[in-house]
Amino acid sequence: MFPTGKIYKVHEITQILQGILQSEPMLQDLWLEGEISNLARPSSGHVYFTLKDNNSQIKCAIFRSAASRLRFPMQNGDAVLVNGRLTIYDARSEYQIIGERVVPAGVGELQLAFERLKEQLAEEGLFDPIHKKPLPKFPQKIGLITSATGAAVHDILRLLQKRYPAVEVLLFPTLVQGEDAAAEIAHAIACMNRLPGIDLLIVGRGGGSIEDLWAFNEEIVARALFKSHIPTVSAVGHETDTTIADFVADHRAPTPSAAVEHIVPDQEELRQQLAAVRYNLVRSITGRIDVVRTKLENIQNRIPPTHRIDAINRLRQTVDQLDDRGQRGAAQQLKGKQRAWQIAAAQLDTLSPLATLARGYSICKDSSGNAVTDAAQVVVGEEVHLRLSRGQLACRVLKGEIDV
Amino acid sequence: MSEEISFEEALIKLEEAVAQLEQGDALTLDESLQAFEEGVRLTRLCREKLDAAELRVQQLVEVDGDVFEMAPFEVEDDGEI
Repeated sequence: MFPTGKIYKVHEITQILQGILQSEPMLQDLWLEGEISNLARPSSGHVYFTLKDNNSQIKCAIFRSAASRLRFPMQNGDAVLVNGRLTIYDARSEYQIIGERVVPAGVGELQLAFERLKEQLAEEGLFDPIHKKPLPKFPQKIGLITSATGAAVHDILRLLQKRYPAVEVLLFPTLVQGEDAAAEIAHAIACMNRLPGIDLLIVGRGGGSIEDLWAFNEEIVARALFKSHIPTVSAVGHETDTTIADFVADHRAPTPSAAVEHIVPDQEELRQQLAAVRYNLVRSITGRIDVVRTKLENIQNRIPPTHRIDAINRLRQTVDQLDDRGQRGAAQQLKGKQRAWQIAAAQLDTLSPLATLARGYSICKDSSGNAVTDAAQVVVGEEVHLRLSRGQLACRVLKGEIDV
Repeated sequence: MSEEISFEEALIKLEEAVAQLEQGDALTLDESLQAFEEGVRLTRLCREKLDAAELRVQQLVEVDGDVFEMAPFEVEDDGEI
């Protein structure tokens, strides 16, 4: 009636079983298939649910840190695969799954491999924006890694020719599907990185099934892309295809053609920009010349006509020099101005103070050459100079009467 | 006028010339004219570079390890790239 052996506490049994479970590697990393029910997401951030099949059920807990990485929006009734480890919840002595990943069931092996690698590489930081290298604005030498006979090479070259042919393309032909494709692509990326002068790499192929595109989901390609010091652009398949290469590359182009549109400017746009810049140049210089002309006209009104002719001659010389340098556009701009100046000069001659002087007026200047227009400018005894129609006089001021 | 500067370098210099010219009074007339001439020359250079550009495509042929040869590459199709 009385116990003869050791008497265990409840939690000791749990501990023993826990130890047995932990010593079994298979139970520490297993994939379990079932249907989600009793899904609960309390505010703690942990996620709880029951995984059922026809006959049995097991409780699952996904702790907050793992739950935050779940990309798949779980709902009751979803058929899923849960990856995690088997443990015992000691408060109830129930065994349960501590889940790390959840993916929809029914996805193929490839999809599963894709998800696993994607998660692994994301954890390692291969997709981090901090590693993304900026692409050159005007690439000059583009390394192209794709099949020499596929649709992608054709699309890319034809669009480059049309959009921005000022580039050199180095094609490294590789297989883009089949068993050896991934290794060839990775090798090509590494080789391109040892060649001089390549400033951008495009790695891609045209559309196909997930199997066709598989090379671009292989780890070896992902790591080669990550190691590339040349900026990389992935250009795989159609818009809806996403590969691991897309996540690692510095830029993901949805299609090979889109890659070209992203990496080089459009020459038509460039030509329009150049025309606009040229227009601005002409407008700026015209404005500048107008400012100078206004200044010149102000000065002309204050300097003797002989000096004025010098100023005009100097501008004329500038125009001639521009002509010599073959800058017809600039010269013509100036020639227009020159004509305006010539007309202005002719007008000024008819209004010249010389004509006024001939009528008996004179110009009075102080010793520094300033025109004396106000008696207050000079003092008694100061020497002033009079410019007459012919010749000059040095005079001394005897008396001043200042108008008040 | 074939000058050994890249399209990008020419554009950067062009921007400089425009920026200089837009300073207006900070430059003498002669400096302004020089900036203008430089700008006009560079826009022409850029346009010429676009006009003259012809897509060059070569194919790498791996000879041995890191040794490569270049071969011309023709797209198989209607002959038009």
